[in-house]
Amino acid sequence: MDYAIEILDLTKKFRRVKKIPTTAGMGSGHWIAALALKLKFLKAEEIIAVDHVDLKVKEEEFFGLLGPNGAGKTTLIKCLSTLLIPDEGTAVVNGYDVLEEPDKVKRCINLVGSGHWVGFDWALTVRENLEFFANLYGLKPSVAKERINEALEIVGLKDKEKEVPSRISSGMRQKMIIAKGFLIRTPIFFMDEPTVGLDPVSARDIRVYIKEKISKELGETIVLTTHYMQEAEQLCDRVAIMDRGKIVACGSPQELKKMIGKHEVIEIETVNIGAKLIDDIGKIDLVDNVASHIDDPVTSTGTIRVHTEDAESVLPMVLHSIERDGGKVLHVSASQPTLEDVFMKLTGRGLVE
Amino acid sequence: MSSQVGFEVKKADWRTVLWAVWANFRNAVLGWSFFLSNFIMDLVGMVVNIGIFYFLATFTGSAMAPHLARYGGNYAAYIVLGIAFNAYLGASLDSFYTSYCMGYWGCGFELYATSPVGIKAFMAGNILFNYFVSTISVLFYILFGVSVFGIEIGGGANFGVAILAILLGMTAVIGIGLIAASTFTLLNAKQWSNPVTWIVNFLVGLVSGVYFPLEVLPEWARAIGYLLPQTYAYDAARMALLSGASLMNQLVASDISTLILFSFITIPMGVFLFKRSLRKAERDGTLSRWT
Repeated sequence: MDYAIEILDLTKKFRRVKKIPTTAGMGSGHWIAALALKLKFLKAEEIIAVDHVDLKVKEEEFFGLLGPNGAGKTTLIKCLSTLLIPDEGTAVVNGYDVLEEPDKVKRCINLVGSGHWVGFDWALTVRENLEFFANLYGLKPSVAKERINEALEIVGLKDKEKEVPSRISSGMRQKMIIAKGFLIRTPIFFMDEPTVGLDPVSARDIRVYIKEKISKELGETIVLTTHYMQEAEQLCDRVAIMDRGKIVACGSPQELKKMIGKHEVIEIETVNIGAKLIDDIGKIDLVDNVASHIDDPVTSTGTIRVHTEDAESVLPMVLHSIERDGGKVLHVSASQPTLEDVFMKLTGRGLVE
Repeated sequence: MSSQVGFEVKKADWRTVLWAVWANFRNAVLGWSFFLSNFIMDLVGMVVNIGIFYFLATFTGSAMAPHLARYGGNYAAYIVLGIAFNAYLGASLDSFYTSYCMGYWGCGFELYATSPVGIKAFMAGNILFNYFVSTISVLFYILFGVSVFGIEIGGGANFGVAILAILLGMTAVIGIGLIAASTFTLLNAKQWSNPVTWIVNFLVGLVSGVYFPLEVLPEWARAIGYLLPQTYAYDAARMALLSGASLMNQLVASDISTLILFSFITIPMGVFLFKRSLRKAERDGTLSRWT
């Protein structure tokens, strides 16, 4: 079996000086403040962003890294793409060690983040920015032109190609970043939450293109980080669930969902979801886990998912708790387990909290 | 590896690197002119700067006269050349740090760090842009000096020695500029201001002879001035342009030798610290803002 990526006991720690205030507003005196603060607060806390991760990604596999914000997904991608040097362990990407041969690794990877700017030039139009990027990677002009046209079409920026980045929305700038990623062909494609900030229709179109064209037709190995469980389920052959720097489970979405076992999942749509309500439901006997999603922050309307082995006994007690805490039940259903349920079973928390 | 996708991304050859440097330079110029008000304010700033020193020259020129003999005796010419030279050496001091800031805050490093050309092409383009702006300033100052102050450069001026002195001064100051750029990561000086540039600029303005000869300063201040490469570069270049001094002139020869010595000290120090700061940035994850 050939592996596109082999991660071997990789660990990345950060040292953060305690109590350094935000730099915003400190202006040109920042370095004085930073130096003074550094001298004053010599104690630094250590944060383990990636904790002894071992992972293998097969060639041409569509691999997902699923986890909440702060799980260590981006740090892991940075280490794999040579933007960050790991503290322990290493990784072999397309046959090259990220520590020994970073230049060779760079030539076989493509990287799309979700930063909204990512080096785009203010003074150049959307198309000119993409042309600039294509030149940077040495694409022939004819190939570049063809791919830019295709990429603009896919991400829905064709009618904005003559605008400068500062005059388009942040969602459109994210589309530019994705379009940039579609220009070059490399054996391995890292995508770090590429669809964050996109409207649902665009996100769907882009997912289809990634799956059908880049994964299936071109055969690129794709590593996608996301905290959208639907995205992971829809696209990925295998998913690794990350939490607090560790891989807590890895397998196909179906395999992972089998980990739920005999658990039943009750999904309750209700208004007035609050921390107390979730806490109260969590204390009910036979309730294993509970998580919530708020869809409307104004009315605190959203969905509560309750894990239990005895839905029949638990449901009346849950409904009573909701009523007691001033909620109003809109809809109740038995639900199929999702990757979020798997995450919740493994960590006791929801993906988005 | 049996993947269908091969190495489309080739190792960058020198043409691609040069193109990237040029493209960055061009983009920086476009960006400069894109924000028209900033562009106009920069030009206005240059005129105001010249105006300030025109008055300085008018009121203090005679007091300076005894100390200006070896520079031809004209304070207006002395000050215009000082400001012009300082524009170039100032760019050498500041442009590494500012281009690092631009790469970090504008997220250019993310794009370049994983590209075949690397972040050095990004920095080189922006540094080139800083020299371009400095050149415009210098032309402005010289034009103003010749037309308003009536300064005369030509005739016996020794351009070769002046250029050599400025180039050596730039080399020595580039070393300090690299040290300044390394503070971005090593001292966490990320907010467009760093201690090295700040201190050097402060001292250069006071004790390097940009605005007045060192001889008018107390001895302790002169001693500080002698620790700055700018002092020797300005002295030699002025003597060459305003008095036609050659390398045979003992003072010029001494200035040039000192600048070479400075370069041998500052460049290795700067390169060492800058490389160390890049390595630290790769370890800390601060090569990019993307988190």
